[in-house]
Amino acid sequence: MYRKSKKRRKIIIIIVVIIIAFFVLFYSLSSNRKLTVVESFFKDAATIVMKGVMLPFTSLNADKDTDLTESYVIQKNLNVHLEEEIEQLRDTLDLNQTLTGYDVVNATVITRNRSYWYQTLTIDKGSKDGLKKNMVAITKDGLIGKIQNVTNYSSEIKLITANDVNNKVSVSIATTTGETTAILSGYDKENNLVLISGVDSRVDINKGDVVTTSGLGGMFPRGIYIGEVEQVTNDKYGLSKTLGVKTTQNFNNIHYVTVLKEEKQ
Amino acid sequence: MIFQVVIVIISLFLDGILSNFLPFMMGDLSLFTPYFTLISIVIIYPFFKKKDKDYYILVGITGFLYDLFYTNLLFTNAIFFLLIGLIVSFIYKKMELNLLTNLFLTIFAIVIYQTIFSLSLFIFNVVPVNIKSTLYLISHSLILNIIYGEILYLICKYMPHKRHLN
Repeated sequence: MYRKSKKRRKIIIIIVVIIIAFFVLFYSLSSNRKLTVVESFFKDAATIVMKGVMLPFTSLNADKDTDLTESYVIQKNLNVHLEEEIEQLRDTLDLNQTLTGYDVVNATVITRNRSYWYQTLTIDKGSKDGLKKNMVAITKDGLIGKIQNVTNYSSEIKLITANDVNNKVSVSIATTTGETTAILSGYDKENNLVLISGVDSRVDINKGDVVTTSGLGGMFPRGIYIGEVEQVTNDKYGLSKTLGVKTTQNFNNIHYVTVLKEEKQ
Repeated sequence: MIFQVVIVIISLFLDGILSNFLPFMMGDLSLFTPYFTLISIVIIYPFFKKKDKDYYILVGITGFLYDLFYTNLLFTNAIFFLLIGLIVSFIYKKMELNLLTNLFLTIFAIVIYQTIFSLSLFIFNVVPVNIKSTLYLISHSLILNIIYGEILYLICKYMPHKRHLN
Protein backbone atom coordinates (compact mmCIF):
# COMPACT_ATOMS: atom_id res chain seq x y z
CA MET A 1 0.00 0.00 0.00
CA TYR A 2 2.79 2.39 1.02
CA ARG A 3 4.84 1.39 -2.04
CA LYS A 4 1.85 2.04 -4.31
CA SER A 5 1.27 5.57 -2.97
CA LYS A 6 4.99 6.29 -3.24
CA LYS A 7 4.93 5.26 -6.90
CA ARG A 8 1.85 7.40 -7.52
CA ARG A 9 3.53 10.39 -5.88
CA LYS A 10 6.57 9.88 -8.11
CA ILE A 11 4.39 9.87 -11.25
CA ILE A 12 2.62 13.07 -10.13
CA ILE A 13 5.98 14.77 -9.51
CA ILE A 14 7.21 13.74 -12.99
CA ILE A 15 4.04 15.07 -14.65
CA VAL A 16 4.28 18.38 -12.75
CA VAL A 17 7.98 18.73 -13.70
CA ILE A 18 7.14 18.08 -17.39
CA ILE A 19 4.35 20.70 -17.33
CA ILE A 20 6.63 23.28 -15.65
CA ALA A 21 9.43 22.52 -18.14
CA PHE A 22 6.96 22.95 -21.00
CA PHE A 23 5.90 26.41 -19.76
CA VAL A 24 9.49 27.48 -19.09
CA LEU A 25 10.45 26.45 -22.64
CA PHE A 26 7.46 28.31 -24.06
CA TYR A 27 8.48 31.43 -22.13
CA SER A 28 12.21 31.29 -22.89
CA LEU A 29 11.84 30.42 -26.58
CA SER A 30 9.53 33.36 -27.18
CA SER A 31 11.38 35.66 -29.57
CA ASN A 32 9.90 38.89 -28.16
CA ARG A 33 10.86 38.10 -24.58
CA LYS A 34 12.53 40.94 -22.69
CA LEU A 35 15.44 40.28 -20.35
CA THR A 36 14.48 40.53 -16.68
CA VAL A 37 16.53 42.68 -14.28
CA VAL A 38 17.99 39.59 -12.59
CA GLU A 39 18.83 38.04 -15.95
CA SER A 40 20.49 41.27 -17.11
CA PHE A 41 22.57 41.36 -13.93
CA PHE A 42 23.80 37.78 -14.41
CA LYS A 43 24.33 38.41 -18.12
CA ASP A 44 26.51 41.44 -17.32
CA ALA A 45 28.54 39.36 -14.88
CA ALA A 46 28.91 36.65 -17.54
CA THR A 47 29.99 39.30 -20.07
CA ILE A 48 32.73 40.59 -17.77
CA VAL A 49 34.00 37.03 -17.20
CA MET A 50 33.91 36.20 -20.92
CA LYS A 51 35.62 39.47 -21.80
CA GLY A 52 38.48 38.48 -19.49
CA VAL A 53 38.67 34.96 -20.92
CA MET A 54 38.58 36.23 -24.49
CA LEU A 55 41.11 39.02 -23.98
CA PRO A 56 44.24 37.08 -25.08
CA PHE A 57 42.45 35.82 -28.17
CA THR A 58 40.90 39.12 -29.22
CA SER A 59 44.25 40.86 -28.91
CA LEU A 60 45.70 38.24 -31.29
CA ASN A 61 43.08 39.25 -33.83
CA ALA A 62 43.50 42.98 -33.39
CA ASP A 63 45.86 43.36 -36.37
CA LYS A 64 43.34 41.81 -38.74
CA ASP A 65 40.85 44.63 -38.29
CA THR A 66 43.04 47.68 -38.08
CA ASP A 67 40.96 49.53 -40.67
CA LEU A 68 37.86 49.59 -38.47
CA THR A 69 37.67 53.33 -38.24
CA GLU A 70 34.38 55.13 -38.29
CA SER A 71 35.06 56.83 -41.62
CA TYR A 72 36.24 53.63 -43.29
CA VAL A 73 33.24 51.60 -42.20
CA ILE A 74 30.80 54.25 -43.32
CA GLN A 75 32.64 54.93 -46.58
CA LYS A 76 32.72 51.23 -47.42
CA ASN A 77 28.98 51.03 -46.90
CA LEU A 78 28.29 53.95 -49.15
CA ASN A 79 29.75 52.48 -52.29
CA VAL A 80 26.40 52.65 -54.07
CA HIS A 81 25.22 56.07 -53.03
CA LEU A 82 27.99 58.56 -53.47
CA GLU A 83 28.77 60.88 -50.61
CA GLU A 84 28.24 64.01 -52.67
CA GLU A 85 24.88 62.85 -53.84
CA ILE A 86 23.85 62.15 -50.27
CA GLU A 87 24.97 65.56 -49.06
CA GLN A 88 22.97 67.13 -51.86
CA LEU A 89 19.92 65.06 -50.99
CA ARG A 90 20.25 65.92 -47.33
CA ASP A 91 20.34 69.60 -48.15
CA THR A 92 17.52 69.64 -50.64
CA LEU A 93 15.19 66.94 -49.38
CA ASP A 94 16.06 67.01 -45.70
CA LEU A 95 16.89 63.32 -45.99
CA ASN A 96 18.31 62.30 -42.65
CA GLN A 97 18.27 58.54 -43.14
CA THR A 98 21.84 58.22 -44.37
CA LEU A 99 24.82 56.68 -42.62
CA THR A 100 26.79 59.91 -42.33
CA GLY A 101 24.02 61.20 -40.10
CA TYR A 102 24.64 58.53 -37.49
CA ASP A 103 26.80 58.34 -34.42
CA VAL A 104 28.54 55.00 -34.26
CA VAL A 105 29.85 52.74 -31.51
CA ASN A 106 32.58 50.22 -32.24
CA ALA A 107 32.43 46.99 -30.25
CA THR A 108 34.22 43.68 -29.90
CA VAL A 109 32.45 40.34 -30.21
CA ILE A 110 32.74 38.41 -26.94
CA THR A 111 30.76 35.27 -27.59
CA ARG A 112 28.80 33.69 -30.34
CA ASN A 113 25.88 31.35 -30.11
CA ARG A 114 26.60 28.77 -32.75
CA SER A 115 23.18 27.23 -32.72
CA TYR A 116 21.76 26.94 -36.22
CA TRP A 117 18.52 28.75 -35.45
CA TYR A 118 19.76 31.33 -33.02
CA GLN A 119 22.58 33.00 -34.87
CA THR A 120 23.50 35.72 -32.44
CA LEU A 121 26.62 37.55 -31.31
CA THR A 122 27.26 39.15 -27.95
CA ILE A 123 29.25 42.39 -28.01
CA ASP A 124 30.97 44.21 -25.16
CA LYS A 125 28.93 47.42 -25.36
CA GLY A 126 25.51 47.94 -23.81
CA SER A 127 23.04 50.54 -22.61
CA LYS A 128 25.81 52.35 -20.68
CA ASP A 129 27.32 53.15 -24.11
CA GLY A 130 23.98 54.36 -25.43
CA LEU A 131 22.96 51.21 -27.28
CA LYS A 132 19.29 50.29 -27.56
CA LYS A 133 17.20 47.49 -28.95
CA ASN A 134 16.80 47.39 -32.76
CA MET A 135 19.91 49.48 -33.48
CA VAL A 136 21.68 48.40 -36.65
CA ALA A 137 25.02 46.55 -36.63
CA ILE A 138 27.41 46.72 -39.59
CA THR A 139 30.99 45.85 -40.43
CA LYS A 140 33.22 47.18 -43.19
CA ASP A 141 31.63 44.56 -45.46
CA GLY A 142 28.06 45.70 -44.88
CA LEU A 143 24.98 44.93 -42.83
CA ILE A 144 25.19 42.06 -40.35
CA GLY A 145 22.10 42.45 -38.16
CA LYS A 146 20.35 44.37 -35.43
CA ILE A 147 20.46 44.50 -31.65
CA GLN A 148 18.00 42.11 -30.07
CA ASN A 149 18.68 42.52 -26.35
CA VAL A 150 20.65 45.03 -24.31
CA THR A 151 22.05 44.87 -20.81
CA ASN A 152 24.20 47.50 -19.10
CA TYR A 153 27.50 46.17 -20.43
CA SER A 154 26.57 43.91 -23.33
CA SER A 155 24.25 43.59 -26.30
CA GLU A 156 23.07 40.68 -28.33
CA ILE A 157 23.02 41.07 -32.10
CA LYS A 158 20.76 38.89 -34.21
CA LEU A 159 22.44 38.27 -37.55
CA ILE A 160 20.55 38.64 -40.83
CA THR A 161 21.47 34.99 -41.49
CA ALA A 162 19.29 33.85 -38.56
CA ASN A 163 16.57 31.59 -39.87
CA ASP A 164 13.87 33.33 -37.88
CA VAL A 165 10.34 34.14 -39.04
CA ASN A 166 10.65 37.59 -37.41
CA ASN A 167 13.96 38.39 -39.08
CA LYS A 168 12.93 40.52 -42.10
CA VAL A 169 14.79 43.40 -43.71
CA SER A 170 13.45 45.67 -46.45
CA VAL A 171 16.04 45.87 -49.25
CA SER A 172 16.55 47.79 -52.46
CA ILE A 173 17.98 46.23 -55.62
CA ALA A 174 19.72 48.56 -58.06
CA THR A 175 18.87 47.18 -61.51
CA THR A 176 19.76 48.53 -64.95
CA THR A 177 16.24 49.98 -65.26
CA GLY A 178 16.02 51.51 -61.82
CA GLU A 179 15.43 50.45 -58.24
CA THR A 180 13.08 47.83 -56.89
CA THR A 181 12.33 46.86 -53.30
CA ALA A 182 11.89 43.41 -51.72
CA ILE A 183 12.24 41.57 -48.42
CA LEU A 184 15.36 39.83 -47.16
CA SER A 185 13.85 36.75 -45.65
CA GLY A 186 16.30 33.95 -45.17
CA TYR A 187 19.70 32.39 -45.57
CA ASP A 188 20.86 29.47 -47.67
CA LYS A 189 23.55 27.95 -45.46
CA GLU A 190 24.74 25.40 -48.00
CA ASN A 191 25.41 27.97 -50.74
CA ASN A 192 26.19 30.83 -48.35
CA LEU A 193 23.61 33.11 -49.96
CA VAL A 194 21.23 35.59 -48.37
CA LEU A 195 17.73 35.05 -49.80
CA ILE A 196 15.44 37.81 -51.00
CA SER A 197 11.83 37.00 -51.75
CA GLY A 198 8.84 38.85 -53.17
CA VAL A 199 10.56 40.43 -56.17
CA ASP A 200 8.13 41.29 -58.99
CA SER A 201 8.75 38.80 -61.83
CA ARG A 202 8.40 41.61 -64.43
CA VAL A 203 11.48 43.40 -63.05
CA ASP A 204 14.61 42.55 -64.96
CA ILE A 205 17.27 41.51 -62.43
CA ASN A 206 20.73 40.42 -63.47
CA LYS A 207 23.64 38.72 -61.76
CA GLY A 208 25.81 41.37 -60.13
CA ASP A 209 23.03 43.85 -59.31
CA VAL A 210 23.79 45.53 -56.00
CA VAL A 211 21.53 45.03 -52.97
CA THR A 212 21.34 47.59 -50.16
CA THR A 213 18.87 48.36 -47.40
CA SER A 214 15.93 50.40 -48.64
CA GLY A 215 15.21 52.41 -45.52
CA LEU A 216 11.54 51.43 -45.68
CA GLY A 217 10.04 50.40 -42.39
CA GLY A 218 12.27 52.82 -40.50
CA MET A 219 14.39 50.20 -38.75
CA PHE A 220 17.38 50.01 -41.09
CA PRO A 221 18.77 53.22 -42.62
CA ARG A 222 18.87 53.44 -46.39
CA GLY A 223 21.99 52.51 -48.33
CA ILE A 224 23.75 49.91 -46.17
CA TYR A 225 25.49 47.46 -48.45
CA ILE A 226 24.34 43.83 -48.29
CA GLY A 227 25.77 42.13 -51.38
CA GLU A 228 25.38 41.34 -55.08
CA VAL A 229 22.79 39.16 -56.79
CA GLU A 230 24.20 35.72 -57.52
CA GLN A 231 21.11 33.63 -58.29
CA VAL A 232 17.70 34.47 -59.74
CA THR A 233 14.89 31.88 -59.56
CA ASN A 234 11.22 32.20 -60.49
CA ASP A 235 8.48 30.69 -58.35
CA LYS A 236 6.38 27.91 -59.88
CA TYR A 237 3.53 30.29 -60.79
CA GLY A 238 5.83 32.86 -62.38
CA LEU A 239 4.53 35.67 -60.16
CA SER A 240 7.64 36.50 -58.17
CA LYS A 241 11.36 35.91 -58.09
CA THR A 242 13.63 34.76 -55.31
CA LEU A 243 17.16 36.10 -55.34
CA GLY A 244 20.28 34.60 -53.84
CA VAL A 245 22.63 37.38 -52.75
CA LYS A 246 26.33 36.84 -52.25
CA THR A 247 27.75 38.92 -49.44
CA THR A 248 31.41 39.81 -48.96
CA GLN A 249 30.83 39.41 -45.23
CA ASN A 250 32.08 36.15 -43.75
CA PHE A 251 29.43 35.51 -41.10
CA ASN A 252 31.59 32.81 -39.54
CA ASN A 253 34.33 35.26 -38.81
CA ILE A 254 33.10 38.45 -37.17
CA HIS A 255 35.23 39.91 -34.38
CA TYR A 256 34.48 43.62 -34.49
CA VAL A 257 31.23 45.37 -35.30
CA THR A 258 30.00 48.94 -35.60
CA VAL A 259 26.60 49.86 -34.23
CA LEU A 260 24.75 52.81 -35.76
CA LYS A 261 23.63 54.56 -32.64
CA GLU A 262 21.39 57.42 -33.55
CA GLU A 263 21.18 60.40 -35.81
CA LYS A 264 23.59 63.23 -35.09
CA GLN A 265 21.98 66.40 -33.89
CA MET B 1 34.03 17.26 -6.81
CA ILE B 2 36.50 20.07 -7.57
CA PHE B 3 38.01 18.12 -10.46
CA GLN B 4 34.60 17.60 -12.09
CA VAL B 5 33.65 21.27 -11.64
CA VAL B 6 36.98 22.34 -13.17
CA ILE B 7 36.35 20.11 -16.21
CA VAL B 8 32.90 21.61 -16.70
CA ILE B 9 34.15 25.21 -16.31
CA ILE B 10 37.04 24.68 -18.75
CA SER B 11 34.63 23.08 -21.25
CA LEU B 12 32.19 25.97 -20.84
CA PHE B 13 34.88 28.53 -21.64
CA LEU B 14 36.36 26.40 -24.43
CA ASP B 15 32.91 26.30 -26.02
CA GLY B 16 32.89 30.09 -26.26
CA ILE B 17 36.51 30.47 -27.30
CA LEU B 18 36.40 27.84 -30.03
CA SER B 19 33.04 28.89 -31.44
CA ASN B 20 34.46 32.38 -31.76
CA PHE B 21 37.88 31.53 -33.14
CA LEU B 22 37.64 28.22 -35.00
CA PRO B 23 36.24 29.86 -38.14
CA PHE B 24 39.10 32.33 -38.07
CA MET B 25 41.59 29.48 -37.86
CA MET B 26 39.97 26.89 -40.08
CA GLY B 27 37.95 28.69 -42.73
CA ASP B 28 34.72 26.74 -42.54
CA LEU B 29 33.79 25.84 -39.02
CA SER B 30 30.52 24.14 -39.81
CA LEU B 31 32.12 20.71 -39.45
CA PHE B 32 33.59 21.69 -36.11
CA THR B 33 30.73 23.03 -34.05
CA PRO B 34 31.69 22.65 -30.39
CA TYR B 35 29.32 21.33 -27.73
CA PHE B 36 32.03 20.80 -25.14
CA THR B 37 29.86 21.68 -22.14
CA LEU B 38 27.36 19.02 -23.10
CA ILE B 39 30.13 16.47 -23.64
CA SER B 40 31.73 17.29 -20.29
CA ILE B 41 28.52 16.60 -18.35
CA VAL B 42 28.30 13.21 -20.05
CA ILE B 43 31.91 12.27 -19.33
CA ILE B 44 31.94 13.27 -15.66
CA TYR B 45 29.00 11.08 -14.61
CA PRO B 46 31.11 8.10 -13.45
CA PHE B 47 32.65 10.35 -10.79
CA PHE B 48 29.19 10.71 -9.26
CA LYS B 49 28.35 7.05 -9.32
CA LYS B 50 26.83 7.01 -5.88
CA LYS B 51 25.93 10.69 -5.70
CA ASP B 52 23.32 11.16 -8.42
CA LYS B 53 21.74 14.16 -6.67
CA ASP B 54 25.04 16.10 -6.74
CA TYR B 55 25.40 15.24 -10.41
CA TYR B 56 21.96 16.57 -11.33
CA ILE B 57 22.56 19.78 -9.36
CA LEU B 58 25.86 20.34 -11.20
CA VAL B 59 24.23 19.60 -14.57
CA GLY B 60 21.33 21.99 -13.86
CA ILE B 61 23.69 24.81 -12.83
CA THR B 62 25.87 24.15 -15.90
CA GLY B 63 22.83 24.37 -18.19
CA PHE B 64 21.78 27.62 -16.52
CA LEU B 65 25.28 29.09 -16.98
CA TYR B 66 25.35 27.91 -20.60
CA ASP B 67 22.10 29.82 -21.23
CA LEU B 68 23.51 32.86 -19.49
CA PHE B 69 26.79 32.92 -21.41
CA TYR B 70 25.80 31.77 -24.87
CA THR B 71 22.05 32.02 -25.39
CA ASN B 72 19.23 34.13 -24.09
CA LEU B 73 17.02 31.09 -23.65
CA LEU B 74 16.55 31.22 -19.91
CA PHE B 75 16.56 27.68 -18.42
CA THR B 76 16.14 26.00 -21.84
CA ASN B 77 19.55 24.35 -21.82
CA ALA B 78 19.26 23.73 -18.08
CA ILE B 79 16.21 21.56 -18.82
CA PHE B 80 17.82 19.86 -21.83
CA PHE B 81 21.06 19.18 -19.96
CA LEU B 82 19.12 17.72 -17.03
CA LEU B 83 17.17 15.48 -19.35
CA ILE B 84 20.36 14.27 -21.04
CA GLY B 85 21.96 13.83 -17.60
CA LEU B 86 19.04 11.61 -16.55
CA ILE B 87 19.28 9.46 -19.70
CA VAL B 88 23.07 9.23 -19.51
CA SER B 89 23.01 8.19 -15.84
CA PHE B 90 20.53 5.45 -16.71
CA ILE B 91 22.70 4.17 -19.60
CA TYR B 92 25.91 4.30 -17.55
CA LYS B 93 24.35 1.97 -15.01
CA LYS B 94 23.64 -0.58 -17.73
CA MET B 95 26.96 -0.46 -19.58
CA GLU B 96 30.59 -1.11 -18.90
CA LEU B 97 32.80 1.97 -19.08
CA ASN B 98 35.39 1.95 -21.84
CA LEU B 99 36.51 3.97 -24.85
CA LEU B 100 33.75 2.57 -27.08
CA THR B 101 30.98 3.21 -24.55
CA ASN B 102 32.31 6.72 -24.23
CA LEU B 103 32.20 7.17 -28.00
CA PHE B 104 28.63 5.89 -28.11
CA LEU B 105 27.50 8.18 -25.28
CA THR B 106 29.13 11.22 -26.88
CA ILE B 107 27.30 10.61 -30.17
CA PHE B 108 24.11 9.74 -28.32
CA ALA B 109 24.19 12.97 -26.26
CA ILE B 110 24.65 15.15 -29.36
CA VAL B 111 21.87 13.36 -31.26
CA ILE B 112 19.45 13.63 -28.32
CA TYR B 113 20.34 17.27 -27.66
CA GLN B 114 19.86 18.37 -31.27
CA THR B 115 16.68 16.33 -31.63
CA ILE B 116 14.96 17.70 -28.52
CA PHE B 117 16.11 21.22 -29.39
CA SER B 118 14.65 20.92 -32.91
CA LEU B 119 11.51 19.34 -31.53
CA SER B 120 11.02 22.23 -29.08
CA LEU B 121 11.53 24.81 -31.82
CA PHE B 122 9.03 22.91 -33.95
CA ILE B 123 6.44 22.60 -31.17
CA PHE B 124 6.68 26.28 -30.20
CA ASN B 125 6.89 27.35 -33.86
CA VAL B 126 9.94 29.57 -33.30
CA VAL B 127 11.62 28.94 -36.64
CA PRO B 128 10.95 26.63 -39.56
CA VAL B 129 12.49 23.27 -38.62
CA ASN B 130 12.84 20.16 -40.73
CA ILE B 131 14.51 16.77 -40.42
CA LYS B 132 17.14 17.66 -43.03
CA SER B 133 18.40 20.68 -41.07
CA THR B 134 18.47 18.67 -37.85
CA LEU B 135 20.50 15.90 -39.50
CA TYR B 136 22.81 18.53 -41.00
CA LEU B 137 23.39 19.99 -37.56
CA ILE B 138 24.01 16.58 -35.97
CA SER B 139 26.45 15.48 -38.66
CA HIS B 140 28.31 18.79 -38.48
CA SER B 141 28.88 18.66 -34.75
CA LEU B 142 30.17 15.11 -34.36
CA ILE B 143 33.87 15.19 -35.33
CA LEU B 144 35.19 17.82 -32.92
CA ASN B 145 33.01 16.68 -30.02
CA ILE B 146 33.95 13.01 -30.40
CA ILE B 147 37.63 13.98 -30.30
CA TYR B 148 37.03 16.14 -27.23
CA GLY B 149 34.98 13.37 -25.57
CA GLU B 150 37.75 10.82 -26.04
CA ILE B 151 40.42 13.22 -24.77
CA LEU B 152 38.32 13.97 -21.68
CA TYR B 153 37.76 10.27 -21.10
CA LEU B 154 41.50 9.57 -21.18
CA ILE B 155 42.19 12.50 -18.83
CA CYS B 156 39.52 11.23 -16.41
CA LYS B 157 40.81 7.69 -16.62
CA TYR B 158 44.24 8.64 -15.33
CA MET B 159 43.09 11.00 -12.64
CA PRO B 160 43.41 10.06 -8.95
CA HIS B 161 39.60 9.92 -8.71
CA LYS B 162 39.50 6.91 -10.99
CA ARG B 163 38.40 4.68 -8.12
CA HIS B 164 34.89 5.88 -8.85
CA LEU B 165 35.04 4.62 -12.42
CA ASN B 166 33.90 1.10 -13.27
